[in-house]
Amino acid sequence: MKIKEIVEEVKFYIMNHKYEKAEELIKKALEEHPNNEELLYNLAVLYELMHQDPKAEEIYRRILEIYPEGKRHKDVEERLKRFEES
Amino acid sequence: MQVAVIGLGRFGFSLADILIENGHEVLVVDKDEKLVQEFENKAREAIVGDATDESLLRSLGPQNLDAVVVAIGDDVEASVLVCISLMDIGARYIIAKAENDRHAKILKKIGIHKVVQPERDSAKAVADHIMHPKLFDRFYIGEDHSIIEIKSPKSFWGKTLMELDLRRKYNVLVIAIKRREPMFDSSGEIKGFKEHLIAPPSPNEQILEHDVLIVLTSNENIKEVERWQ
Repeated sequence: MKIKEIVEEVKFYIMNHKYEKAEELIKKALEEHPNNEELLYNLAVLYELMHQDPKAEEIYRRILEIYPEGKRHKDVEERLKRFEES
Repeated sequence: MQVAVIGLGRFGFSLADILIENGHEVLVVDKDEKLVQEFENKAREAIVGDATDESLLRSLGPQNLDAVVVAIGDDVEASVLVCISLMDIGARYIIAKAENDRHAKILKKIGIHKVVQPERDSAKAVADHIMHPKLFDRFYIGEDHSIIEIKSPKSFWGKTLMELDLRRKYNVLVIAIKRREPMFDSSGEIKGFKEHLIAPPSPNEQILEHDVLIVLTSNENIKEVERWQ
């Protein structure tokens, strides 16, 4: 399955509050594409949705490290601000 | 609000800072000129002086302030003296920091409205965190009860509060549900989340995956609640 299709499926599960299923799907996809920015970003937000903030923060930092100028870097910086403020 | 903070030790300094950050008018007093200088541009008034001097306290107009915080911890005598003077002048609401239990007892005896022991309070919070790692947060209600925040266990997901019947089974009351909802940008990509509180939840409210429950419980019941799976 292409990453875009996986992300679409993940979004479907997230919208329906099926977070466990979404996590399973992303983790499986990450086995094949361990550093994919979109998958990592979706996983980080998912951990926030699951109230697992330390895990989310760790992934956001990892994204920023791998993709300092990536497509998601502004979103990531915004998300990280939340942890710095809390 | 208008608040005076007397004593700019670690506690007083942070308190004044937080109040100013949140847009309140703060008057600060301390003997240490350097500490006071830190507030010169942001406090309504930053005064260098000895707060045991009653005329200085009068000049603050404590009777017109919403609260006066006596954050002198290390000198019990000075703290008590300042508190008594403030009461004599007619301060509306006095909060005083106590260094230890004995100091706290004296402050309560003389009628201080609220006595705080920051070191003890934060130690209590850390101890709670160690003893009850599953609790996100805890607020004490009186001596025997607490409001706790706890993650909903898997066995609750998809069930309504009525179905779970926690009040009868565990003698606890779910007073709110904290839920995080995904947010998407204009192109439909996931962006982040927003958190909202369902309070009070209706009996027909369904618990969704990873909801956090805010529960009123007796303290002796907390261990039982933590065993929910």
